[in-house]
Amino acid sequence: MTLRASGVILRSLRGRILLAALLWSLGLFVMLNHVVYKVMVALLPGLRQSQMILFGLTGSSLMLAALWLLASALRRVDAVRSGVASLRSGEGKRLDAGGLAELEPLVRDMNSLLDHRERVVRRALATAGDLAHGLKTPLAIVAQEAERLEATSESECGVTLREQVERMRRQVDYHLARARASASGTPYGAHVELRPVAERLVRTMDRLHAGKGHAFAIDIPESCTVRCETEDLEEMLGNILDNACKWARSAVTISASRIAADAVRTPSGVTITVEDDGPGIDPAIRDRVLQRGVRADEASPGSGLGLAIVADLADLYGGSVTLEAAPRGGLRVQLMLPPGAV
Amino acid sequence: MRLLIVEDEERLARNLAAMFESSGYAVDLAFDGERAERLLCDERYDAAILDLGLPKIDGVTVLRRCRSASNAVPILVLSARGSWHEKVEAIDSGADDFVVKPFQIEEVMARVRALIRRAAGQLQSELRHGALTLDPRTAKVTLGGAPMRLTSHEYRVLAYLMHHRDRVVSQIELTEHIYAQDFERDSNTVEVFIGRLRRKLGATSIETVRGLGYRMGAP
Repeated sequence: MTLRASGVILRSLRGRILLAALLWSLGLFVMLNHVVYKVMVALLPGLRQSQMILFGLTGSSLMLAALWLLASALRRVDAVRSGVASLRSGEGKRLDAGGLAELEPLVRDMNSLLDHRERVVRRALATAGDLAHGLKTPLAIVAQEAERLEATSESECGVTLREQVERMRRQVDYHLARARASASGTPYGAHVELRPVAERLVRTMDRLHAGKGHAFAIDIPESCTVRCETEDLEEMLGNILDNACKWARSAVTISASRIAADAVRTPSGVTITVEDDGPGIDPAIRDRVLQRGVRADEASPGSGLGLAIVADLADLYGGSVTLEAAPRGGLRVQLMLPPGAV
Repeated sequence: MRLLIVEDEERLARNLAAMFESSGYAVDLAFDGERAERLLCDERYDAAILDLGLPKIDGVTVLRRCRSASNAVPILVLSARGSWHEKVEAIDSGADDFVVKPFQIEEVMARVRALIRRAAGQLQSELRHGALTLDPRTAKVTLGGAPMRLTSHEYRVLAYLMHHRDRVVSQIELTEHIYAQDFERDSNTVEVFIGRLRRKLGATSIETVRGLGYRMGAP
C-alpha cells in the first residue's frame, strides 16, 4: 500500500516537487536544530559530540535527497524537450513521457497529432499521384491523336495539340514533384545513406542510356548521410544524373564530401557533385535553367523541368544547387544538402 | 518481329498496336497483368511494352515473375508514374527501358527498335547483309540500292533472320516470331515465305541448314 502510494507520488511532477519541498524543510529543520545544539553545547559543555554529528549528517542528506529528486524530475521534462528536438532532426519518430503523469496526456496528444499528420500527408500524396496517373493516360491518348493529325492533315492543329499536351505533362510532373517535396521536406526528414542511392541510380542510368555507353565513376565515402527523404534524394540525384547522361560525351562522375561549418556562418552540409564531359551550359542562361518553367533546350525530349525541380526540392530541405563549368568542359552540378547523423 | 503490348487503356493499346503493325511487327495485346504474365510465359516475343498500373496483377510483379522465370525478353515499361523512385524500382525489377506517359509514339518505337537491336547484339540501326539492307525504322528493304516490295510476313521472316544473321534459326522459332498469338499457324507456310524471299532476293540469299533451320546466305 505504501509502496504503491509512493509510486504514485514519484510518477507525478507535483508529487515530486511536494516531496522535495518536504524533505528540504525537514533537512533545514534538522540543520537548524544542529545549530541550536551547537549553541547549547557552547552553553552546556556536557552534550556528546557523536550526537551532534548524527544530526548534521541526517540533515544534510535529507537536503541532498530533495535536490536529487527535483533534478531527476526536471531531467525527465528535459528528456521530452530533446525528444521534440530529435523529431525535428529526424532521428526520433514519436515522443516518450518518461513516466511523468503530468506529461503523459500531453505526449499522447502530440503523438496522435503526429500520427494524424502522417496519415493526412500519405493520403494527400496518394491523391496527387492518382490525379497525375489519371491525367496522364488520357493525355497520352490525346498526344497520339495529335500525332495522327499531324501525319494526315495539313493544318497546324496537330502541332499545337502536341505542344499543349507536352506543356500539360510538364505541369503535372512539376507539381507532383512539388507536392511530394512539400509533404516530406518538413523538419521531419529521415537520414539517408548517399552511396546506395547513388549506386542504384547509376545502375538505372546505365540501363536507360544504354546506347551511349557512358562510363560512370562514383566517389562517395561510406556512411555519408544526408537529411532528406529517400524518394526526394532519388528525385534530385535522378534528375541531375539524367541530365548529365543526356549531354555527356563519354563520362559522368558523381562524388560527395562533407563540409564543416566555418566561422562565416556557413552551416555544415554535404556537397554532392555531378560532372559530365558534354558541351556544358552557356553561363548566360545557367541561372534561368534553375528557375521554374525554363528549359535550356526546348528541343531535347523530356528535359522537362528536371533541374528546376531539383532546385525547388533542395530549397525545401534548406539546401541549394549551383551550376558551373566542369574542368573537363562539361557541366558541374553541385547539390548541397543538410548532413545526416553520423 | 513479334511484340507484346500490355496496357489497360484499350484505346491507347490499340493505337500503339496499329502503329507498330504498320511498321511490320506482329503484335499481341493484353489488357491486364494476368494475361500479360501468361502470354510472356507461353509465347516468344522479341520485345514487350508493359504498363505498370494494371488490373489483377500489377506491372512490377509481372516484371519480377518474368525475370525470375529467366525470361530475358527486352521489356520497355510505360508508366504514368514517372518519379525516379519508380524508375529505379522498375529497372531493378528487370525492365530494360522506361518511358513516361504521355509519350510520343515515335520515341516509343525508336526505343523498342533499340532494345531489339541490343538484344540481338546489333549496334547499327540499319541492318546490312551484302547488297541487302533492311531498315527497321521504316520497314524498307533494298537490294543493291533498289527498293524491294515484300509482304508483311515476308518482311518479318527476313527481319528476324537479319537480326540473327550469325546463327541458324529453326523453323519453329521463326514461326513463333512472325505471327501474332491468335493467328492460325502453320509451320509449312514459313517454307512458302522463304521460297518467295529467295525468288525476290536471289536463290542464295537464304540458306537451308538441313535438320536445323535457316540462316542468311554468304553475302
